[in-house]
Amino acid sequence: MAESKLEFIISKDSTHRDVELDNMSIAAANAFSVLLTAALNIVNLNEDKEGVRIQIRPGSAVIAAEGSDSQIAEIEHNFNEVIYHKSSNRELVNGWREVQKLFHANGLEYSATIIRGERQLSIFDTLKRSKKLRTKPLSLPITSSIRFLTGKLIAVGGANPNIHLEDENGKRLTISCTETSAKKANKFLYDTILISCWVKSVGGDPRYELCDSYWDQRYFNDFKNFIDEFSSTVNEVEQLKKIHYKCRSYLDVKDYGSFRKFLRLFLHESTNVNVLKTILIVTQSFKNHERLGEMRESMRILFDKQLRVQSKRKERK
Amino acid sequence: MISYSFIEGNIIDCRSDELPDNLVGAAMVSNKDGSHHAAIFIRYNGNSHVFHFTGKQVLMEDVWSIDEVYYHVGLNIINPILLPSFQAQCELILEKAEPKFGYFYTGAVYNESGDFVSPNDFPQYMTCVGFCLSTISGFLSDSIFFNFEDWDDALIDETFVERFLEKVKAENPEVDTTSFKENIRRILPIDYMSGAFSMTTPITKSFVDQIKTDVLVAFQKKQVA
Repeated sequence: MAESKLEFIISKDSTHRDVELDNMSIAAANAFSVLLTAALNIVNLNEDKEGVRIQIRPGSAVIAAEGSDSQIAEIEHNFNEVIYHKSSNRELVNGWREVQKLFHANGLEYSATIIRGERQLSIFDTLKRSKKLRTKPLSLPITSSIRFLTGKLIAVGGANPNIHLEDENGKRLTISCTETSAKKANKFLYDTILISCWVKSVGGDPRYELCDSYWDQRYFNDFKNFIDEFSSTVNEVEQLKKIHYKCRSYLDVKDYGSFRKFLRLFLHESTNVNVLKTILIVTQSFKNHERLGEMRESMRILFDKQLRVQSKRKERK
Repeated sequence: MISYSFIEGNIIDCRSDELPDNLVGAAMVSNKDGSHHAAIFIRYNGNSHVFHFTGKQVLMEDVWSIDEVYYHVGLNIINPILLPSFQAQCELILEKAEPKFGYFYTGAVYNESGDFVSPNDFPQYMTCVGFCLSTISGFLSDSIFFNFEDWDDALIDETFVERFLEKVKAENPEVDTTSFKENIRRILPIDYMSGAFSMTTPITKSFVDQIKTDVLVAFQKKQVA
């Protein structure tokens, strides 16, 4: 069977002498160590690595990872992703970057080859000439802090106003709120209520802050379903498009009352700036609208503030 | 005043591999006949695309999948943090927009009474530049991008304007051509690229006129290099 492997060779050291495994200069031994570590990292990050053999051979200093054609094809594919800055695998990019740094350092002579049967692909020049390798950022979905809860309202009040809810499993939750909301809630003491909250984790424990309450099960279900769907969408751009279309579903039929209720879910500092921006774009013709104008303005102020905070955070990084 | 060397240093190949992962730029390419075509350069999460209107259709193309090499000037006005919502907005336009070619520019999505103006309700006649300006203005939503009223139809041949209005009237009998005519204006791709150098908005014609000769020279030099 034709052999398939990724092979690194250190042929000459800085004094142009042939490198021998049993007689290496410190520089050559350092290079050897870097290449061996990199080869191991690269192989370890292959999905299919079962049976790959690492070889160290004389005749200059040879480090090779030998495997099946498909295993070496995977290494080649991953290598190309790294070269074109399309890989989000930080460890893999770091592995190849170490090899690149080594090839850039003057002095020693190397070769780097991907061998698949008859085909020998030298990757030395590609690596050396390529711009500094870097990891492509991962696009993470936007997480929502909104939760929908239902349960029996068992207490209202306090100097720092809050309400106490006993959920279906008998678990008691304390939810902070404004004085106005507390007064409103008081009328529903011992009733079953439907609410939305923003949840933030403080030292590992969830802290609840009241967002809105719903007398109409329809709103509760509709908003809950939307947020569930939003949260289970893994691509942030698709998530934002969902927000846009949801807003449009109210605006197109001029259902401003429901839309105001929907927007309340996002009038909070935990809302992602791109979510706020998407809402501001779709509502831009409603700046002076009698039912939406004021709410949109609050959202714009919140957006400006959050953008400033995030920009500062990014600068510090 | 912006120096020539600054201008030259900031007109960048869209295929450069030294770009930040997220940015929006005003992009331009030379057509075979020497005229220019404008596009929006979108770099989102390390992927580079041009978003543009060809006169026939709206396209979002990977810069590596096309033969033409676009150059761009970064638009400071769009914070890189907002690239997800910019990308989403462009994809929404891609799904909905049906512009027709013409020297016409208006950026509305919803009209004053809150009705959605769908492409079928009102003709979206625009040039490649008008398309870029509408998209970016729509995204900014709370600030004005180009002071487009500084530009007029002076650069357009009068008989062309007449024929264009006849065509609009034939395709859309309900359109009031007198008010439509007021919005006929020609903003060149080089005006758009020059405007990207402005540190403040709205971008004015007097700012653009100050630097556009230098921008054109620098752009042409890049293309030869």
